[in-house]
Parts: sequence; structure tokens; C-alpha cells
Amino acid sequence: MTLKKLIFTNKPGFTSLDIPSKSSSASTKQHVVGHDTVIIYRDKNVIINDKLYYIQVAKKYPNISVFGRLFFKYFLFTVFFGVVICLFSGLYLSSKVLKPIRNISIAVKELTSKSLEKRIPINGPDDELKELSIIFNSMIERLETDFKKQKRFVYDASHELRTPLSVIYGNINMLTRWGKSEPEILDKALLTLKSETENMNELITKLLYLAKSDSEAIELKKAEFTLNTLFKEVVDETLMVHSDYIVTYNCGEEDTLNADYNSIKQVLRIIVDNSIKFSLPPGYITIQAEIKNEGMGITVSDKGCGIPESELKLIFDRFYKVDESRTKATGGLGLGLSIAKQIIQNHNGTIVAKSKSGEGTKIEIVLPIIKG
Amino acid sequence: MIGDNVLIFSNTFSILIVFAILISYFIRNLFLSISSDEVISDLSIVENYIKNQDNADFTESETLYLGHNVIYNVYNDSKKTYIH
Repeated sequence: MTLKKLIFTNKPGFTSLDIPSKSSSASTKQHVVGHDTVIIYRDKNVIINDKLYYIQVAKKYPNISVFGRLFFKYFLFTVFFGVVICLFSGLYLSSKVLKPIRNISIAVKELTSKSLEKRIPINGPDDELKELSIIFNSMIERLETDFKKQKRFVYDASHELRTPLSVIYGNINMLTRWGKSEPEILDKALLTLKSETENMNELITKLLYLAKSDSEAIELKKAEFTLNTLFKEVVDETLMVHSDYIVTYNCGEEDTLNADYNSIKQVLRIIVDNSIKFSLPPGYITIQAEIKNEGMGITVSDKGCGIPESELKLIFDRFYKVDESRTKATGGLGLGLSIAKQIIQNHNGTIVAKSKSGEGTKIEIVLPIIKG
Repeated sequence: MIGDNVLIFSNTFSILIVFAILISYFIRNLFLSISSDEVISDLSIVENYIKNQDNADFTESETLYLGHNVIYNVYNDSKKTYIH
């Protein structure tokens, strides 16, 4: 079968398409003419009135390659400048965004234990970095406070140790030179040496306790006990030494606590001793227990001279003495309440002081109630 | 630091060139697909036109207009008839 006669066309001059002798597939073909023109064409055999016709339709797309090339060129051009703009704007933005971080790193570099007063400048918008700077500054402030406290602690400890050492040294010097030949002076010096050695021993024991407590090396021997027993023991022991004072207690028969008995007793002894030191007889010291929402509340109150309100926050600091001259007269190292606070904190409890000058002091302890 | 930026820039640019090539290829294929559909549609118009003719003599027929860039040719075999 041969197809040979063109019978119908819309463009008589345009018959140069590649015409196969028989269409073998029904696919669309493309044909490139010159550089820029693409012809898309398709053919089909059709039988009409038992006659075979061969139809071929083509569509011409001039400048198609130009379009592709232009597209590629403009795309690359746009992308190139886009990337360059992004690069420079990114560098600018990153330098602006990272500026607070650079400030933080500079401030951190300049921080040493001797220059804790440095702070990061707080400026710019209210963003996360500003918040970070504020948090960082508050952290440095806490560190500075702790460093100052530590320095003061070391200074006070050295001072407290130097005083009895000076007394011991002076007495030994006196005995070596002339005092040992006089029995009366020898006895007096020996008594002073004993007293000062005891003082030093007490101070070192307390410091060791605090150091152990700081490093969490103290093991609590928790057990359940009735508060009635504890309070009675504390009151009896106090009255044995200070019979001119009135010390009372008030708690329910069934009130119990799960804690280290000896530690809690030590806390109560410290507070009651302080009340006695700063109250004139009869003192009216009361130990009271009361169940609160947060746990078991223990309150020790007295009718003593009280503590000025401005100093209430400081009384739990190590070596802090409200009135230096009065403390010298009554004795005391300024470590008792620090130890009491440490013990209560070790029990996950809280301790606060409430007082008014001339009206008395109230120390409130709250300890969690643990069953078992 | 500058070296890192140059590296990032060149890498990004290389990736974008690959993207440009892929997008060009995709657009070309899309164009071919659309064109193919148009040619198929034109072919069926021509086929229907021929079927509707009374005889095989197209010399007197009016030219079928399908657009300025569409060309169609219809051939036949004058000697043989096609039998099913």
C-alpha cells in the first residue's frame, strides 16, 4: 500500500514534513527546523468509504529555543544577584543579631573572681537575647554575693580563730617568763588556756559541721518521733541550766515528725539558747507545734529584746552578730543560726525569723510531713 | 570565616544551577505535553472534516482554518481501496 497523492492541505507549499510510508505508532513527534523552530506533528490513517486516507497535522513553534535560552539566562542572572544580596544581607543581619552574644562573650572573658562587678549592657529590643543578658547579670550578681559572703566567712573564721590563739600565746608567754613560779597565776592561766581551747574546739566543730553540710556529706538518720518527747527533753535540759527562765511547750500528744531527732533537737537548742541570751529572766520562751498546709510548723517565741527588722534577713548568715558588744558579753560565735538553717534545709524545710525591737522574736520552722 | 562564606556561596550557586537545568527540562516537557494535546485535537478536527465531505474530491473544498501556525496534509491512495 502506497500513499502518494496529496488531496487536501491548508499550506500547499509546506509539504516537506517527513512522511512515513505507514504510521507505525500513534505518538506525537517533534522536528527541529533551523536553530529556533520546533514542529510538533502527529499522523493518522483513516478509512472513509472504504478508502484509506492519511492525515498529518503539524504545529509550528518558532523561537522556542530562544525562549528556553532566555529563561535559563534570566534565571541564572536573578539567582546570582539574589544569592549575592542574600549573602551580604545575611552577613549584615547575622552581625547585628550576634552582637548581644558577642557582648556576652566579652563580658564572660572579662569575668574573674576579682572582677565580678562587670555586667552586660542591657539594651536593644525585648527579645530572648535581652532576657539572656538579664539572667546572666542576675547570675553574676548572685555569684558576687556568694563570693563576698565566702570572703567574709574566711575573714571572720580567721579572726575568730586568731582571738583564742592570741590569748593562748599570751598566757604561754607569761608562764614561760615568770608566771609558772606563782601557783595562783599558773592556775588562772591554765583555766584561761582550757577555756580558750574549748572555745576553739567548739568553733572548729561548728565550722566543720557547716563545711560538711555544704558538701552534702552529712547523713540524716531519719526516724519517726513524737514532738512531745522532743520538746520535753529540750525544755528540761534548758531549765536544768537556766532555772530562772520560764520555758514552756505546747503540742498535740499525737504530733509526730519523721526527721533526724538529734539534728532537730540541736536546732531547738540553738534557738532556745539564743532566746535566753537575748532575754532577761523569766524570758517567757514557748515552743509550739502546729500542723500547717505546707507541713509541721514549729515556732519558738520569746519576749526578749528582739531584732531590728533590717537585720532579720542577715541573722542566718555565718558569723553574723546583731550587736557585737552584746554578743561578746553573752558569748557566741554567730554560727548557731547558720547551722540551724542548714539543718532545716537538709530536711527540705524552711526557717524564718519574725521580730520587733523590744517586743520579742519568733522563729518559725516548717518541716515536711513524711509518713513511714 | 570568609572562606566558609565563599564555600557556602559557591555550593548554593551550584545547587541553583542544577535547579535551573531541572526546571528548564520540566518546562520543556510541559510545553511538549500541551502541544501534543493541541495537535491531537487539530488532527481529530481534520478527520471529522474529511468524514463529513460527500466525495473524495477536495479541490473545491474550502480550506479548513486551524490557526496560523497549524499545517495539515491529507493523502490518499488513488489505486487501491482499503478493505476491512
